[in-house]
Amino acid sequence: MNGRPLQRELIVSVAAPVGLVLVVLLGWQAYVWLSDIRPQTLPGPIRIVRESIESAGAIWEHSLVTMSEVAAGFAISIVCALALGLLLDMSATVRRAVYPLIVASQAVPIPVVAPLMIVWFGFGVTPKIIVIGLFTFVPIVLGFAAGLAATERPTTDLMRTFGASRWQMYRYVKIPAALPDFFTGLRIAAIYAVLGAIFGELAGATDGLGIFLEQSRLSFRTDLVFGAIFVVTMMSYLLFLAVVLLERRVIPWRFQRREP
Amino acid sequence: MLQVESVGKRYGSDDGAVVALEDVSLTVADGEFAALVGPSGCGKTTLLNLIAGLDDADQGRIVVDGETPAPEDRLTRFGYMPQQDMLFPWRTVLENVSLGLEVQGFPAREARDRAAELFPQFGLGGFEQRRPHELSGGMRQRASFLRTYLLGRPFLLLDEPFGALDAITRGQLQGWFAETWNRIGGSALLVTHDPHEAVALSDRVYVMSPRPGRITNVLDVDLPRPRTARAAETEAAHRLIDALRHETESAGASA
Repeated sequence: MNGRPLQRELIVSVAAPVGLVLVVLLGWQAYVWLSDIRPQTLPGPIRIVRESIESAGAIWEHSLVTMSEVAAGFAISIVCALALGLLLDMSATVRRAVYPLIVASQAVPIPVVAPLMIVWFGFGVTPKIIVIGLFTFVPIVLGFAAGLAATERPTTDLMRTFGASRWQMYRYVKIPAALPDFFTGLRIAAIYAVLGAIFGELAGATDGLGIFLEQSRLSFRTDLVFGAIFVVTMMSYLLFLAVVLLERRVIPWRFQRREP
Repeated sequence: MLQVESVGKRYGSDDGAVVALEDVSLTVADGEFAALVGPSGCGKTTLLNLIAGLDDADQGRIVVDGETPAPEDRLTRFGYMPQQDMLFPWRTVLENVSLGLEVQGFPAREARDRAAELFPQFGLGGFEQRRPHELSGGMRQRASFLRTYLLGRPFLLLDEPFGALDAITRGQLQGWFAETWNRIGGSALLVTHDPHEAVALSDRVYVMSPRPGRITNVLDVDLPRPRTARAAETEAAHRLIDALRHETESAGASA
């Protein structure tokens, strides 16, 4: 990077991915035109955009359902993860008992378990929240607990000489110090949250993007399948972006230079 | 008045135990500034932590003002200043300095007002709302010292407060500290590996040798008070520093 490094970097970081996507879309459209392939098998980008706009109303309705599931599931997951993270840090017994279960829960094949949730909890929002929780809970807990455990001896020693109670130790030092690791977990969880909602819906639901996807596939509307996939991707991306922006607001000190 | 009587401390199991301190005794009278000098690893920080109540001694007694408080009761008897500044990046400088008062139960507002009053005196005026990383190393140590001083405890335990600074900043800060001490007074036990620092600031120096850590000598520093920033530049002071340097070197070599 010489000459005008910042400008050059900006152009590369924006232009490179956009250019790559354009090249792929162009090639894709050209292939569809030249090969005369059936749109049920592979629709071109132009058709996908046209038909998705045509069905925008339906896609929007289903998106709202999925988004509300994600909001509820993600929020509940965060609250539970914060609570369990604190418990894990405070009690060695809880840590020994629960930690292996947390790790094991990541090995559970969620798409297989999701239909069971429908059997237990019906077609409502509950099984979706649980599936979203299964997808997002663990990275948040592990991040938060690791951050809490990272507080070093000299720091807690200083607080002890102030006469800090256990609660004050958490409030003034351990929790703020754990926030960067918490947000690292939260960013990973944000990527999986929408995916969790889609899996939950596929297992059984009446509305939602997962249902829209499934219905479009069954009626050979491959163009709408692609359209829905695009919306799902955008949703995940926006949630991720929201977490990143929140992180910059909540822990601005993390992004400042440590040494003058 | 602090009396450390025949204190011993070992770490590890019976077989592989490391004796960190053996039969350590020292006394710091009220209003006295004592220093504990020795090579790194001689156990001086261990001793300071025992006195502060952060750890429990295996042998001996630690007497404070005639009482023998349990370690957890000693925690709040002393003003403890750690080696690193321990200023938290999520708090402003003012919020960091007033943290000790806040933990003690002062409303945040009052704690900050009381801390802010002393900022100019401690050379921190105008930096109240800055973040710690915006301060120089010397300013961070002054902020850390102010935080300790604000606890209002008459006896300070100082663990190499200037140890992490470069030589020039350390010299400046020692001078500033000597003059500030004239104003605030009180009793102190300073841990350091720097003979010059020990002589410049203290009335009495305890020399420690490592493995096992024990007191090998005691030197009285009869330099006049109040001390100036250049108190250790006199010939008498230099003789003391040379003697002390010789002491600590032989203490380090004997290990």
